[in-house]
Order: sequence, then C-alpha cells, then structure tokens
Amino acid sequence: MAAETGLTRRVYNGLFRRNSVFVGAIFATAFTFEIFFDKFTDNIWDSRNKGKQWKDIKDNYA
Amino acid sequence: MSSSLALAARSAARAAVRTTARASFHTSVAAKTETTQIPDFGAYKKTSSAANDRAFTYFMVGSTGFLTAVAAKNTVHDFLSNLSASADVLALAKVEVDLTAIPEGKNVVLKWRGKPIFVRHRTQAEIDEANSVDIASLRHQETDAERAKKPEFLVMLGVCTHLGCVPVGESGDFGGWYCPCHGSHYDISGRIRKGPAPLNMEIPEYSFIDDDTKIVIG
Repeated sequence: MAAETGLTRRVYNGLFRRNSVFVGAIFATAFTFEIFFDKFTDNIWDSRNKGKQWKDIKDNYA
Repeated sequence: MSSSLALAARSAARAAVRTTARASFHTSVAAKTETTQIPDFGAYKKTSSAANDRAFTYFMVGSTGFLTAVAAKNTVHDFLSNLSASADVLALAKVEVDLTAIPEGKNVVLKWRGKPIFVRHRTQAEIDEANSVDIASLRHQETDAERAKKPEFLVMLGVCTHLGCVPVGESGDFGGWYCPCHGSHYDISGRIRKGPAPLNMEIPEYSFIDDDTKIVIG
C-alpha cells in the first residue's frame, strides 16, 4: 500500500467535500478551460491558414 | 444492530445445511493437496490508498462534468448564433450618411431597410422654432431635444404615422412636412401638429461617428 499523500487529502477536503464547492469548481474550470482551449485551437487554425484570411491580406486593400 | 443479528442467524442456518450435506457425501479418493490453502492474491490487490482512490474518482467525475459543461454551452451557443442575423445581413441593415454634404436648411432622403429616412440640416431659426413650441399643446408630447441628438441634424423615419405615406418636405402649415395622402402637418421637429396622424414621425436608432461628420443609422 502506497502511503497516503497529504495532497490528495487536501484536494478532497478543499474541493470535493462540499458539493457546492465541487460544482462551483467545475463551472470555474469549464470557463477558464474554454478560454484557453479556444485560443489554442484558433492559433492552430490561423497558423494553418496563414496568408489566406482577411486579417492577413487586409493591408493590401484597405 | 438488528441487521447484523439477522446476518448471524442466516449464516448459522447455512452452516447447518452445509454440515448435513457434507455428512451425506463420501469419496474414496484422498485429496492430493491441501484444499483449504488459499492462493496469494497479493499481485492482484491494488496498492493505492483509499484516500488517493477517492480523490481520483472525484477528479474523474469533475473532469467529465466540466467537459460536459463546455460541450453543452457550445451546443447552445451554436444554436443561438445560428438563429441570429449573419454579418452580411447586419452590414446591410446600416446606412452611413456624410453630414458635410448636406447644406444648412436642406433635406436629404435616403433608403434604409426599405423605408425613407429624412435627414435635415436645420438652421438656427428652425431650431429655435422647434424649441419654442408649447409641449402641452402637442398631440404626441415630445421635446425637440428628445427627438434630435444634435439639434442641427434631425434624423427621422419618413413615414407618416397615419397610414404610411411619405410626407413632402418643406411644406405644410408648420414649416416642416406635409403628408399629401390625408393632410397631416408635421413641424420642423417632425412632430404631428394637424391632421389625422396620431404620432410624431419615428426616430430611428442612429449615432454620430468620425467627429460628428457622419452618422450611422441602424
């Protein structure tokens, strides 16, 4: 048996023990995750379509 | 407490059945190995602690929860953005007017969402006239300041509030607009003063841009 680490107990007591805190943490994580996930996927899209999008060619016309 | 007593009674009854069954069973072959020896299941036992497992289980539940929340939010968002107007429709719904091209005391009529828009560059005398009217005497009581964001420019929907004709500019008994269909007279602020129309001419949503040299209607 591995020794119980203090970390998991602290995480359980701080985050999972009360349902209100648990659900709140889920929504907070969803909110922040979405921001960074969207940024990440947008960067992939922009780098794969470099030079094709309006923001890349805008200076040539406007 | 009562459940553990019941459990004890049940296992005692089962043991009694087993002893009688064993008593009626005979074999002449001797057991080759010790049959009561229990193999070692240590290799299959988990090595993690209960606290770690509990934290991991809640972590997995929470992870599933937040991913589901993101997916649900995006599904709803996609449906709602699909219902709202697209960018090309929104672009067509706006009209830009250059105010420097309108001389003082002149009207400009333009089309916006299929309806005429009157823009009048009013003179100071006309502004004073619009402000001098006794509000209490009006049918649809609105001050001139409520109708024009900047008093020099009156922007309104050129549709008679009676039956929807387009009034004629710079005519009528009050120096404003006159509807030829049924004789409604509007003043220089577009307010109904005489005739069958019930309300003042409508003011669309508009805003000044580029240091007040242009307006965007819509």
